This record gives sequence, C-alpha cells and structure tokens, in this order.
Amino acid sequence: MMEEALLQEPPAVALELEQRFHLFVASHRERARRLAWRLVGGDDAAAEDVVQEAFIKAYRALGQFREEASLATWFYRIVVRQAHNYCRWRTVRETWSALWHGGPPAATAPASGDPLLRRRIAEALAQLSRSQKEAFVLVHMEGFSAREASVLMGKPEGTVKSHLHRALQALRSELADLAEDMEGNVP
Amino acid sequence: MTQPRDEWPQPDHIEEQFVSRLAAHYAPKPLTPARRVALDEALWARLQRPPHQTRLTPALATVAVAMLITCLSWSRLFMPPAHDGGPSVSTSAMSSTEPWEYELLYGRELTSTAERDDGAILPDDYRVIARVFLDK
Repeated sequence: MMEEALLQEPPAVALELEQRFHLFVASHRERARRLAWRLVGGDDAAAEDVVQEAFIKAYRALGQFREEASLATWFYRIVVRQAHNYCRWRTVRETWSALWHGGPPAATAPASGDPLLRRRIAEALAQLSRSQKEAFVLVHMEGFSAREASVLMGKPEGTVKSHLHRALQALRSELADLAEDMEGNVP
Repeated sequence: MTQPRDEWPQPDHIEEQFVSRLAAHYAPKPLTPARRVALDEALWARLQRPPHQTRLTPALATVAVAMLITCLSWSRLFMPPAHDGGPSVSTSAMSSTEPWEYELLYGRELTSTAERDDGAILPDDYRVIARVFLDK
C-alpha cells in the first residue's frame, strides 16, 4: 500500500479506500483542474499543482468521509483555498521579482479559444475582489449553485449572491464591447 | 436606496449569453491522455512520499526563504555605503593609537596629580611646534 495510514488498515479496507480514491480522482480531475485554472488566472502549471495538493489532502482524509458527496464538497473547498493561497504567494513572488529583477516574470497560459479575448477576461477577473471572482467562477463558469458556492467559499448564501451580482456588473462594464455584441445579436 | 444583500437579480437572457461566452473562452485545454497519465504518476509519486516529508517541505522552504531575506538584509545593513565622491572620513588613522598618545591622554591623571613636563614623551615634530608656540 502507498500510505503509512493505509498500512495500518486491514487489507480489504485499504484496498477499498484506494479504489475509492482512484474513482474520485477520475471523476473530479477535469473539473477541479478547470476550476483551479480559472481561479489562478489561467496558469496551467499552477492549476495542476493546486489540484494535486488538494487531491493529496483528500487522500489523507478519505477515511473520514463515508459519502462521496461530502468528500467532493470538502475537496472543492480545498481547491478554492489552495488557489487563493497560490494567488497570495504569487503576489509575494511577483513583488520580490520586481524588486530584484526589475519586472514580473512572464506568465504563460496555454489554453483554448481566442488568446486575446482570454487575456482580457483574465485581466477583468483579476480586477474583481477575491470573493467576487470566486463566486463568479464557481456559479457562472463552473455551474455550482449559489448555495453550493456559499459552502465552498464559507460565506452566507446571500453574500455570495451579492458578490455574483456585483461581479457580473463589473465584468459587463469592463468587457462592454462583448456585452454589446450580445445585445446586437438578440433578435 | 441600497439593495438588500440577499437580493440577487437573476441574469437575463443577454447576461446568460455573455456569461456563457466568457466561460467558453476562459477555459484550459482538455488534458491529453499522455498528460493525464503523467499527472496521475506525479500524484502517486507525491503520495508515496512519507507524510511528514510532504508536510514539512513548504515549512522548510518558508524558513529557508526567511533566513535568506534576513541574511541579505543584515549584510546590506553592515555594508559600507557606496562612495559617491563626497567627503569621507578615514577611521584607520583614528584606530591606530600610539603609546605616547595613551600616555599623554591618560597617564597624567592616572599615575600622578603632580605637574609633569610632556616634552619628553612628545615626538620630535610636536616638540618643534611646541617650541615655537610655547616658547620652550
């Protein structure tokens, strides 16, 4: 077995836990990676690191959760928190880099879609507050309900809805040309 | 009038279109099968490490960075200022004190209270100056 803790379990239980974890990774990998990617501002390597860290924590806590749904909720909460920690450290690193090397490191963001539009969206999202960005990404981009987002963010549902409304207003104002395109296309 | 915090106007049709366009354009490329395998292997490799090693690594890295910052700050603090062409005072001459200077400065009060002729202990050039100004 891979983990010290699992060694202490009877083999059947350990095997069951490991199988559960394999299934859990397979069913949540893609969504977690996409969520992390959007929260860290379109950085592939950072998103993968955030997700791996969250999976490791989930693995260690696997035995404590009997239901897959509660483990998933807990896991996405970890992803959101890890992404936030990453962004905080990135700010420190960029400040440090600017102090010692005279400029922030160039960010690379391989992704699908129009690169220019993607960059504009990333910049517009970066201007939102942390809570607004998290609420918007969770609900409008990842399809969580406002109630689920409130659990993942650890905030009341009403506050999350308020963040959603403000985030949408700010993004529509920042990306006004896109919003106008939509209005123009409406019959 | 301000809106209550719980009030959340549901997005209309245009807003929904706007949001779905943002979501479509702001997404990572799907993982290729090879990349997925590589990530799985990296995940299992990390899980195979002893837990204490995994937990201590970020803490040790933080401590190392903090120590590095402290060392750099302290070394900069004690570095001599860059010479910008302005007046500077050399401390080397001040630190090399001759035995006669000790004698002159401290010897009189420490050894005796009686009047003493310093001429004998002064160097020759001082004695020449003293002769001119003090009529000795």
